[in-house]
Amino acid sequence: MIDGGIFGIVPFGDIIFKYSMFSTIGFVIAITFTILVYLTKPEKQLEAQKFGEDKLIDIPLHELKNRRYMAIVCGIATAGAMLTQDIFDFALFLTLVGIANIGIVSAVKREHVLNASFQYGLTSIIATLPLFGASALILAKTGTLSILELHHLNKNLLFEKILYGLGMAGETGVAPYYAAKAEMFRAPGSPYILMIHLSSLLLIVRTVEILLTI
Amino acid sequence: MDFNEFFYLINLTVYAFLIGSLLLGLHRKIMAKIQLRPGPPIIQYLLHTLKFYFKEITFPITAGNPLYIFMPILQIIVWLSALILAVKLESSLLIIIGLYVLQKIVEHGCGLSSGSPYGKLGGVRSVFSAAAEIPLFAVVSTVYIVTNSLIISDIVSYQQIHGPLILKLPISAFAFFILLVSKAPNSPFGIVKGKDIVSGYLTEHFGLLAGLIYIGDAIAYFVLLWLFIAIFLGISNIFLALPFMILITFIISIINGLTPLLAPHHSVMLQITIAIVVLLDLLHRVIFL
Amino acid sequence: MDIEKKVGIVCLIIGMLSFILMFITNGLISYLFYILFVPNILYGVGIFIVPKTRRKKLGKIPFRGY
Repeated sequence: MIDGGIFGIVPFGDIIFKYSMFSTIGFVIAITFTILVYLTKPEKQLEAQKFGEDKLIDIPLHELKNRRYMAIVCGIATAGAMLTQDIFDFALFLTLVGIANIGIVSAVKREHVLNASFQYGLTSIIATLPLFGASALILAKTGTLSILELHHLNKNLLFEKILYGLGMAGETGVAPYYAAKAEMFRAPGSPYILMIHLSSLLLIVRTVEILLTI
Repeated sequence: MDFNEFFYLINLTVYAFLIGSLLLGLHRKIMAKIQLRPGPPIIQYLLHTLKFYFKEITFPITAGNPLYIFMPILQIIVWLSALILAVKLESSLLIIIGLYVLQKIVEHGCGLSSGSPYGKLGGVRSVFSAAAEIPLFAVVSTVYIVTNSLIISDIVSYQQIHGPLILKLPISAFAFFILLVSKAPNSPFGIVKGKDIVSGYLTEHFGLLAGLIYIGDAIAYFVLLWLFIAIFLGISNIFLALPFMILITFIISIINGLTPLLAPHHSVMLQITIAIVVLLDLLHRVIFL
Repeated sequence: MDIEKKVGIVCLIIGMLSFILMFITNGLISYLFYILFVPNILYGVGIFIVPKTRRKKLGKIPFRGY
């Protein structure tokens, strides 16, 4: 027992959404933050200048709209990743979150933020290789990608799990890779930046659940 | 829910808040004694919370609402749900870890939404110290491999048969203990609230909002101590766990009183080192046992 | 009425609603309403107890070069 009891299963063809206690809480958190991000106005930053008075930096509307859209996409992808019961589907959601994360900061017109987002983009592109490679290896070894099926199969998937975990780490930009990502957080616009952090943390927890289940 | 359950929940919440804040006060007292000061009374944390609760607030003009006001409320929501899921329902450990991860979101969100440079630095440091979560996941996996379940009631009943897990998984227990140390105030890993950045993410949450965050922190301290005792010592009763909580607080305050605040990169490197050790332990258990 | 009080009223309404819904519903949903009830009531009651701010320039906080 990992997820604390199943409430129900919603099959969409061969893609299955499962509402367990764990996934429901994750889903609710992701949806709540998506709504909050839609409602919140970004904070203004007071930047120290070399000469003269401090400057109050405001985010213009066109930049804000772009970033808010990407943040909402990021939130919906996170909510989907909480529920899905298919390894390939989860990997797709993970990459979608990675793309949305770059999109959130790419509208900021500051050089160091753009540099960091470019480096994070490279990491996430490279990380798709172990991610989808591990999915392909699992399919080749067991003949299925469904987590519910894999739970009953009891095959030794240690190598695939390590690869999958590495792919996830690169995609969400944690531990060994986060040098670029922490630099991205210096961009102004708190709710959108918060979405990057929230999505990556929720996805890590969810990945741990998947890796323990299969 | 009927009235009995409601009063039980209220009692549990107040109990957790009181015990958490008294333990945090004790922590401060012991630290002061180590540094040869008389120190504040043990109820000081409680008094601080009450003091802040009755203080005026204004929202800074730089703040991004409603995120700014939502964050202290989220802090209480997170730790109340952790309290109910852990102590009352004895549900999955992974959900509690997921809620603990939300604590990082609170720190980050508090810092960023206020628009203050100090808060922002605190938030960025909280992202850096996300490295503290990796040993946690390794601990969860190790516990799962040994007990074959992540439901807390199952883990507790496993320990009633096989003896406490702290003897079987000393490395995991150590990693979890480091987490407790990093959550306590004035800890060597407390780079998020370091005094070099005023109060980190708390800088611009003052008055009533600070009071709310303090309430959340007290409940958080109680829940984390309870979690450690339930998982590694096998005692899930909140009254029987009390002497162990005092003991652990004593050890933590001695550690915190004797160690200086680490620089951010040292703190992160130390936590990553612990993470690697725990991950190696996990790998060893997966392959050989 | 300033923005803090407005947020306080919204919080009070959410808190009251969750208090009522808590007793109607059962199981996990009622716990959800309980955890919504506590912080919202704490903020909503607190904001009407705290003294009125005596700051001259509202929202301009020291430390920041104002």
